[in-house]
Amino acid sequence: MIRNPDHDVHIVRPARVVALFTLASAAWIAFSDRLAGALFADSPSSLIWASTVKGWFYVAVVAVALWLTLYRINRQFMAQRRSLAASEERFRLLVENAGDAIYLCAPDGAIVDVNPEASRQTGHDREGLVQMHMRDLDAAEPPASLAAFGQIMPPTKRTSLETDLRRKNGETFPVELSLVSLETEGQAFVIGVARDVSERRRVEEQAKAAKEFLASIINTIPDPVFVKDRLGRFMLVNDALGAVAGSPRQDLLGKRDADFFPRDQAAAYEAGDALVMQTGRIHDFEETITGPDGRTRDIITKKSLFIDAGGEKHIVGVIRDITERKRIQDAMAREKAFSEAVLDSVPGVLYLYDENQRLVRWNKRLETLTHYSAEELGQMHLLDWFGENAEDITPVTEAMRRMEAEGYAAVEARLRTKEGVASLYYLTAVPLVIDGKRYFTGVGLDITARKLAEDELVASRSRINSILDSMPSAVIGLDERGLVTHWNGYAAALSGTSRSEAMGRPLAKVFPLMAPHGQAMETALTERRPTQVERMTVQQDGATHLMDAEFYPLATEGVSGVVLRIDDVTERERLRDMMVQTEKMLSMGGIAAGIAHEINNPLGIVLQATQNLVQRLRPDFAKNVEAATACGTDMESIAAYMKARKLDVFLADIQDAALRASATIRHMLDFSRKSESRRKVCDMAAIIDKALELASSDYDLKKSYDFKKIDIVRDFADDLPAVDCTEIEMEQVFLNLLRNAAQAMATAQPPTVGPRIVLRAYGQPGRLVVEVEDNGPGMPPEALRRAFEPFYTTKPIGVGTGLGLSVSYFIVTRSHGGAMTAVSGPGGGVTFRIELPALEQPEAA
Amino acid sequence: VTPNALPRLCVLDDEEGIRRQLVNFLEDFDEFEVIAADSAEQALRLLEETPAAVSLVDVRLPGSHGLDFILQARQRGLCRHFLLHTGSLDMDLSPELEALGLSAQDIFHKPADLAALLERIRALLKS
Repeated sequence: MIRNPDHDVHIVRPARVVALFTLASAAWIAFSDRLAGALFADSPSSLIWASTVKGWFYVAVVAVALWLTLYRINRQFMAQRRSLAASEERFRLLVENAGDAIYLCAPDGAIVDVNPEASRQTGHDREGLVQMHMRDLDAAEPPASLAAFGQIMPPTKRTSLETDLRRKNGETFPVELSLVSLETEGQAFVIGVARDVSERRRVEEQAKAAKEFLASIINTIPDPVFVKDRLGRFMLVNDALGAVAGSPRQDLLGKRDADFFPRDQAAAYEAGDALVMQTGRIHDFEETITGPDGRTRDIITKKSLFIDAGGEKHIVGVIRDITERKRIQDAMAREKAFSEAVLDSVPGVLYLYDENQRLVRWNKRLETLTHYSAEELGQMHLLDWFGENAEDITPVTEAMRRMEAEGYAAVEARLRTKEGVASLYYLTAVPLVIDGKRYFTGVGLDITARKLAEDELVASRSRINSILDSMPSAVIGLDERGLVTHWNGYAAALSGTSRSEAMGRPLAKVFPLMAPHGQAMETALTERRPTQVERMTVQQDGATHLMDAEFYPLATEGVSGVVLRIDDVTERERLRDMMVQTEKMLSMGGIAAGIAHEINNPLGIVLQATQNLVQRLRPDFAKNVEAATACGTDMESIAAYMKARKLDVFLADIQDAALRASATIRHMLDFSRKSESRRKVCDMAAIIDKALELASSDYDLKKSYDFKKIDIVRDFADDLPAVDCTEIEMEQVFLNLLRNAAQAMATAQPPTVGPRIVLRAYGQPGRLVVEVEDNGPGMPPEALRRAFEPFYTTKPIGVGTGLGLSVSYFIVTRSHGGAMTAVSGPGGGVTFRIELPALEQPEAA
Repeated sequence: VTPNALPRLCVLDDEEGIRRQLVNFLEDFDEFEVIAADSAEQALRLLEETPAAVSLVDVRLPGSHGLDFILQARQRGLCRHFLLHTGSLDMDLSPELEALGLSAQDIFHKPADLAALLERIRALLKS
């Protein structure tokens, strides 16, 4: 960089220097003379010396000033000379290195001088050019520069033009030629500066071609494309946008959206533009556009910001018509919503696994039931559901194998939720291939509740069956066709047909007893009312049993069928008969009481007369012997005769008959006893002991056995509950039982070895229990059932009246409000059990 | 009472057959002197003349009741022991009978065993 010397050196101005010197000299002379005069007024010698010094001082100062001035002038001159040289050098460099050709011409166009660029452009050297005229270079016809030269006149005028220059080799090239006229030292020149614009032309042509290329591209694009300026005016549009706007594309340029589209749409577009302007990013806008045909279409407009070289902002946009796509999308969305609704409405979980057993699709219910999120489910492996235990996993893996082999598999497995709660599921799997890939799909149903219900059903069925089986009646379920649906244990026992044989078969086939009663079943079914069949006879265990059957229509709505119940009413009928008989006995007892005296007296005569006969036939009786002798015979003959003619047996028969008749009357009278008034709190142990004492001295018994040989075991609890009873009656009850036991043991074949009677008395809540147990042969069931029946006896004729136990039963149940039962053990022996209601304890009351 | 006199028994029954059986049976043993009456009144009259050791008494009698007879005879000291010989079966030992000095062994229901009667009479006389 060349420094300007004007900035370093002050320009010396001669007038100012001379004036300053004159004034300073005058002032110094006047001042110094006046000072010397004042100082050395009284010493002229000094004054002279002082004047001399003053003169020399002045000379010295002037000399210094002069030196300074001259030095400065010299420096200024030198600086100017350097500056000029530099300036010239700069100018030369400028001219020689200028990118444009510079021609110094005479006003007529004759070239005076040129710079090296002119030689480079034209191919002529400087010497050649200097001999040429500008019109020689101008390739235009006529030369364009010629007129220009004529136009520019001094002092200064400039013009410019475009023309082509010709090179030495004949080529032409475009230039921009600037002409300036100037006058230097009285001589006029024209300086022409020629700029080679061939490169610029080329670029301009390229730009034009690029623009046309762009236009052809964007017009080929079926989507509308536009460029808008900052104010929303179209700068560039394609034919597609023109078509949408309903005008040729040229007509759109410079106009805005609002000029072509409905106001609300245009406002939306401009709002989008503003957003893109603000953010500078690319945005997609879903909009609608109404074309010239009035149809509104769905579009997506992609807009971006473009800032040109001048910093101007533009909106570049492309519009995509998505009406069809949207229609398809909507249809697909509807279809998807529909299929998802279908999937979600499946009553369970639905899944699709890929070949790696990864879950790929599922329904919403799988999420809600297992509490896994969709993201987590996407990570799930088939076996992740079933925990760690082999017994949970193995069925699943086996089901997968089955599915591969058979094309379908179902399995019950315990599925775990996210929290690890297991529920039993019924899971299915079907393989499928989609796009060549293998998948399997299926559904899962939570069967926990069903399983529970099933278990409950099984349990309840078995409960019902066990209830039915424990019923002492045959219970048979029949459907509307009369086929067996239920068959309890008693039904099996009674019919001889097992449950498995009977199920599902017609009743008449499996239960011949009921075969004649099909009509009763039909009536129950069709008329829906119970029907009965009474007193059917069945031979069982060698005895005749009576059966009542009843058909009940099923009460449950919508279920038709009947329940058949068959009861063994033998016992009930027998008890009924017994009660009838007891009632008869009661009334008979009332009558008997009135006539007992009248009967007993003759009976007394019969018995005692017989006894007298026996007495008076005894051969060892003195009076008999006397009388016989007096009659000419002897007792031996009479006895022999009696024996020969069985008179002795007849007498015994008369005696027995009289005793039996007497006993019968006595027992009949027992039924009519009204003993309420004789009730009192009894000592039961004492009563039993009294009965024991009576039994041991009962002459009736002595005939058949010796009571003293029976081992009597008394087992009485210490604090027996108090009961209210009639002592004499209870005494008779126990006497009857003791007599019964003793006779049973004595008459057994073979007789009981080591006969024993155990008497037990003990308290139970609310009652007193007395048991009389023998170790005799026991009683067959039939006899046990009928033990309390009046006139029922297993004893030989004459040994019992058949009324003893029934009287006892009557006394205990009727007269004392108690209960009496008889059981026979499997190893023999009979236990009679008497329960009497205990008196309420005073302290408990 | 003469030293060789036999103990006197009194049979009170309105039924002639009964009286005959008892009297004949008891007389056969030659241990007792047996008298019989068909009513309480007659029996009391007979006993007024000669008291008895044991009376066999039917309860149901025409006119005075057998129990009244026992009461009367006892009060008047006409007989030491009484046995009931009854056709009524409700004549079990009651406090009323016990008050008359009877025990269960003293009650015989018709038809009664003669041997048992005899045994009881002998036992009473021995006491």
